[in-house]
Amino acid sequence: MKILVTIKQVASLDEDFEMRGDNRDIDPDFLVHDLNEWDNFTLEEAMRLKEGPGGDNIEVVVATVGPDSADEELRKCLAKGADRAIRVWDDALEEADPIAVARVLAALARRESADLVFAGVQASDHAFGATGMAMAGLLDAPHAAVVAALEYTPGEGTATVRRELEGGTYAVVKINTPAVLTLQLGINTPRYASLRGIKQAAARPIEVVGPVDIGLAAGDTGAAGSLSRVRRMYVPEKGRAQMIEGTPAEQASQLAKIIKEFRGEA
Amino acid sequence: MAGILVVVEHRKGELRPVSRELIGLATSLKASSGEPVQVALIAADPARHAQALQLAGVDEIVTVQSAGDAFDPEVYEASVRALIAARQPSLVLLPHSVDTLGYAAPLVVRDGHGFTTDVFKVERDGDGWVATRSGYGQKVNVEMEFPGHATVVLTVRPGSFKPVEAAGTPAISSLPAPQVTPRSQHLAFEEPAGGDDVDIPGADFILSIGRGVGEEDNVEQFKELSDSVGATLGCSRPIADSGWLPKSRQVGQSGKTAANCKLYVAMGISGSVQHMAGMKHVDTIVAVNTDPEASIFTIAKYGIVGDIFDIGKELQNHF
Amino acid sequence: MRFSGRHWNELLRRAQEDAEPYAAAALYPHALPAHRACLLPRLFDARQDRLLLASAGFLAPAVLARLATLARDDAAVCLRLARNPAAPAQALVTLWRGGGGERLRLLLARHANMPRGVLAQMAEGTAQVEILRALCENTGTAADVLAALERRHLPVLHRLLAINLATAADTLLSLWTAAVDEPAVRAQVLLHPHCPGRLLEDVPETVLERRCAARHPRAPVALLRQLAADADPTVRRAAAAHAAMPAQALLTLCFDADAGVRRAVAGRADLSARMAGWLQEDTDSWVRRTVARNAACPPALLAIAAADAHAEVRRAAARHPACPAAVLERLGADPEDWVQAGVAYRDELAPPLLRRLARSASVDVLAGVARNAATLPAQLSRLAAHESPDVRRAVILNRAAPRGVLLALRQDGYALHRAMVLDHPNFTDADRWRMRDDPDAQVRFRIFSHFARLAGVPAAAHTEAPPRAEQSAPLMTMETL
Repeated sequence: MKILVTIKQVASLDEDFEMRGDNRDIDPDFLVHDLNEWDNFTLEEAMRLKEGPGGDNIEVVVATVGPDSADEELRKCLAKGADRAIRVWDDALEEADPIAVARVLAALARRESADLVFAGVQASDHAFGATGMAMAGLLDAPHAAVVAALEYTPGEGTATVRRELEGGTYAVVKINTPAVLTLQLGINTPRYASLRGIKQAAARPIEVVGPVDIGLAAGDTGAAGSLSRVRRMYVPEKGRAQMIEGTPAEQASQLAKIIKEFRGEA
Repeated sequence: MAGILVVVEHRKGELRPVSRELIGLATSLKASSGEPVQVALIAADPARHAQALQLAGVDEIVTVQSAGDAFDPEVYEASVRALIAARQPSLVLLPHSVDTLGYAAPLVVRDGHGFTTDVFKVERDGDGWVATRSGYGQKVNVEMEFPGHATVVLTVRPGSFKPVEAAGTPAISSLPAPQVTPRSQHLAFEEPAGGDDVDIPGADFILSIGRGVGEEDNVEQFKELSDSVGATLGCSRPIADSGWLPKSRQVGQSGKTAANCKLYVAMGISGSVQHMAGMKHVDTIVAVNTDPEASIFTIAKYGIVGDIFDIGKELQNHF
Repeated sequence: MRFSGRHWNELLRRAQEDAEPYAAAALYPHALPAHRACLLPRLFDARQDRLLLASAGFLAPAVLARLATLARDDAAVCLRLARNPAAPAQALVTLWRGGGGERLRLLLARHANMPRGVLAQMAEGTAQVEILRALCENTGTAADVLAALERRHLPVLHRLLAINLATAADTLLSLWTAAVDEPAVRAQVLLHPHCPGRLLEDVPETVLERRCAARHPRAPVALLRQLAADADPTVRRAAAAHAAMPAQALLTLCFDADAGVRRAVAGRADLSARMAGWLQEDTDSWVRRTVARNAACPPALLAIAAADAHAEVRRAAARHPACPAAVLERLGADPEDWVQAGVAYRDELAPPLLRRLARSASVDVLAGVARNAATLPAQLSRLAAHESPDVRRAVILNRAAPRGVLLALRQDGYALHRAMVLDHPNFTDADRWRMRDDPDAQVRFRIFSHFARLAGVPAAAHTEAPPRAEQSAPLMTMETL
């Protein structure tokens, strides 16, 4: 059985950054890269199934759409026990929106004949929340979003998931498998890779392919495969906290007011 | 005159408030684009909610009767597909919600509509729609456009638009329910298990202390303070490491994620990546720190540059 | 391990090839000019790296100072340096001399490391309110400069001047006089260490001012007595905590109707045995727990606290510095893990008690055991392999943990733990050396810094030693390589 875990290398910003010349993105020098927070949980869930009852034949494959720098994130997953890692890239993918990315990942999922596809609910940089479920649409697979708990016995034709709704209530849903699921933070407690795992992962191969290699035509990738386009990116006026001025006594008094107002509503 | 289609959301028999916000957005856009506003309701018993949707500015309510009342992604996807086919709107507004996260993307990827999510501003530009959302952890705004798409589907951030209150007299019609064989079934709703004594994930109000607290003896006054203001006391890693507070009170990457927190008062916490990992979604963060450039001030809603003891002592006097 | 030129060369090479600039930054301050030149490309060639280094608060001043001279034309780098608390005066002055926009000047005006003389020049040279405010906030600004700022009579500066600890008594008096309608400013003056004595003689008008007067170390006893009888409980509370409050007034405060006041009495360092006894039976659990923690509380009373219905009172007894062994024994078997944890974190525990606590399943108790200097190595080894990172980390924080136990933690997946174990006194340089290829940049930084410091010290010793032609000194400096 094969579980495909799709991950993303996300970018974060410090304060005081600069825009790229065309004002459609940030100057890359200011970007700090990391693994998407959600992806720690999706990988852990795949490993949990692999290490659990009936998991002997489960192969965990991690995949991402990204340039060279994304290899680092794939290696983090290999270090935690993923079996294989694949990266897909082509310069045209620079302009891909989540839907265009999903086209690539879906093609990969088809190639791999994955039984389960796990993605994070969203990415911590742009939080579209679309890639995972767009893949489901392209694969025409049963799907559920925002899964906070998964009960699945490898080989079974259905799984039971708990979707975490607004306000904390759960919706318990039975779903046919194979399926595509987006998983929520807190679904499990992600492991830390051992140092040995990290060092071994540094030497493991990563399969790197282009979209053409997995059956995508030029018209399907990058901007052409997207359903939206960035027109302009800019810094909104209110970026920082509203500072409460005054002597400590005055500041405390304001804070007391904020707290009392909150409690009044609560 | 294509139309602006709003798909409302309900759960457990209640229309969700974001629905009226979307209608508010739609009716304000009507003013600039001249298109009629259609409000779509997918439910087992549409009549139950139809009355609440008879709002000013709405031209038509279209109902689709579903087999069950609980959300199903394939039923919603097929229903919205049928609605779009029938009414050919130029704009489709959905709430950005747990439910739409399950069906909006599959819908647009199959049918090829313009699409983006979690927008808090929508405008007309020439003959196209432009929507604005956040980027890079809400540090920037991003304007999105959809060249070449006759229909644009947007999921809208809750709390961004004023709901419509006034009543109206829209026409009411219905669409035949599309044939769907869902591959998942809603079994039940479940409430989360009750928390124990110290429940950081469940707490809606957390007061957190960091290294600035200095010594174990000083922790007591903040315990008293959190008690008085009605907050759950949390802390950053160094405090828990020293044994001054139980590990269960640790907030941040190596501690508990404060999932339900609405108000977070951070005292003497600089806002390192590790601590703030769990806090990004919190509505209101108030940070108290002596360093005016502490990173926490970039994600806090309110900031106080000050000494946590001075502030804490004075705050105590108000409770 | 003998750190030699060969080792230094290897670190140099590794730093130049490192994916991050931090290893190079670790070596730079301790390298002599020839090798500094080798490190410069890795450090400062790429803009992305300059930006990263500019924000790093853990770098040595020399690196940041050099960056300031190199990156004078890069506004983004300058801003990051100006925000960096570790930026040394030299770097800040370089930035200031380079001009720059309003935000940069504001950050510089605010920076604690900005030299006094420059702050004074900034004050003279500007009328911009934001800069003036920043100067008033800066604790490095000299008292005479603050006085001059006060003389500009800008109300928006009043509060900040009243708060700044460097503000002199005369200036405070002027602020007081100008703040006739601003009780908040007056209250802040009454809190100030340099508050003129005569302002503390009369009972102030507002509750806030009275509360602040009650906190002032030089508040006269006559005033304190009046404040102890104030109608407002927050004033009485502040008074009850005042070190100079006479015993007679304390007796009354001990039975105050407001629990907060009684809590303040309970926390006094000079609490009498008699009062401790009364307060220990207070209906308010906060009062009881404050007494139980108080070092002035006679240990004999702790047995009562140890039997309290409220877990936090029992824990407080466990934290009392002189808690008797018999009471600790009892608290070590408390039904609440958090109380047991209070015992586990104590330095002097009877071995049988410590062993019993080691059998707990609670992470808090085990972390206490793991940190305890008396815990045996065999037990520590087990704890070093515990699934909870908090427990493993506690072993690292245990100064007495033997080297054998610590070696296992070198393999810990959590980079923070590997970084912490490096600093442990029982770790050898050979152990640290073997970790030099750690995958985490912060861990590498610490290792490289450690050896860079090691190389620097003997270098100084070498130059001070009398020249001896036949001595083959260990290769410690760049000159000898």
